[in-house]
Amino acid sequence: MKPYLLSEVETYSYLLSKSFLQLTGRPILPGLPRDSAALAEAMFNAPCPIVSHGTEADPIFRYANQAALDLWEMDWDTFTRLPSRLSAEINSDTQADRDSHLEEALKHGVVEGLTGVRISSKGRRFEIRDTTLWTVVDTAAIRHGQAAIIGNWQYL
Amino acid sequence: MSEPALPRLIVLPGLDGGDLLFENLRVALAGRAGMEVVPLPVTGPQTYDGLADGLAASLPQSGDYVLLAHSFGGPLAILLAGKAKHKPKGLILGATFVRNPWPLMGGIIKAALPSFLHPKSLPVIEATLLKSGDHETAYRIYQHLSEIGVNVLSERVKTVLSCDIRKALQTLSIPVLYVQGRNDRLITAAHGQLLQATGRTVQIAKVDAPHLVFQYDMALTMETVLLPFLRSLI
Repeated sequence: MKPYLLSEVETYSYLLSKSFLQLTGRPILPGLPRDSAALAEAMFNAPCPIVSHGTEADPIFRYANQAALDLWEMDWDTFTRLPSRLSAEINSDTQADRDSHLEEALKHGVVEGLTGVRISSKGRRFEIRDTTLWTVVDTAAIRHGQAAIIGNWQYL
Repeated sequence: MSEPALPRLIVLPGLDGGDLLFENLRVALAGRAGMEVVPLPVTGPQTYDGLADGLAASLPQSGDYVLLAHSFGGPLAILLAGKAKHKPKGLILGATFVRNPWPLMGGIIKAALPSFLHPKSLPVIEATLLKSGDHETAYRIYQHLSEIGVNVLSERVKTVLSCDIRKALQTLSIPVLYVQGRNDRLITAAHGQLLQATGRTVQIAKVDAPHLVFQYDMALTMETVLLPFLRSLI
């Protein structure tokens, strides 16, 4: 079953899109449909990788579109049970950079123009660029997680 | 009064060949004894004899030390202990074997290895090697194995399938501690018994762990199993 067909993924996709628009003043992707099911499918199949983790103390990934799954060389089931810190190398300054960006996004809601090095499940390192990191909140200002959309990337 | 210095641990990893799975051992040992992981080379021969020839120079030339090895590294530690000019004070062998542990399943395991390096195999890694629910370690093992590549892994599995180092173990006169996981689903208790029956001075300690016996509850394993053995060697 395609992940975007799951009702919780459809709902979360809407939340991702809505909170991005609220925080940046622009749509997450151009020409997105208004219907939530179609929006979830469009976001899942978008060319830009989109990922999101939840609000756990050690946050677990709760969303990745197909471009992100391809980039990290994982399937949905594997990706959405991993701590998001594993998207970057464990023993490196990368984790400290990542933590500071996440804190900044928590504080300001959104941080744009980020770069950083990440690592796939097969150990391939890549640089993410032009990345926007934002805090996913609903209309009642309840926080559901943090998300990132990656503008472009390059294997190192 | 301070405790006499314990022998330094020289660690030989399992099939993954790296230090990934010894972080908890290092933490549990901290401040009590030195520890060094000897990574397995990813080029050159992957046979036990070939690896032992290459790694013999990595052994300490002075000072007391103990070889600690896990799984694939066990036979290598036995060979190295025999070859070493400056002998270790003892051996600690975790979840290992002295002859091919899968005589009936070996061909299947080797043939299935390429498909093992696919994200779908993570639940298999977890079920075979780890405590249930340890997704993170499963992922990190998968990531590490993917970096090593299927060719090296395949050579190492071939080495396991042709392993029989009982004679080398028979010649060792140093104390050997075999650490066996009660929940090991990869190497059965029979391999510990064979090791004990083959060696001269092999004692077995059982811990509540899966195949990765040096990964979980290491503070307890350190206090109740490893430290008493290390102290007995002083």
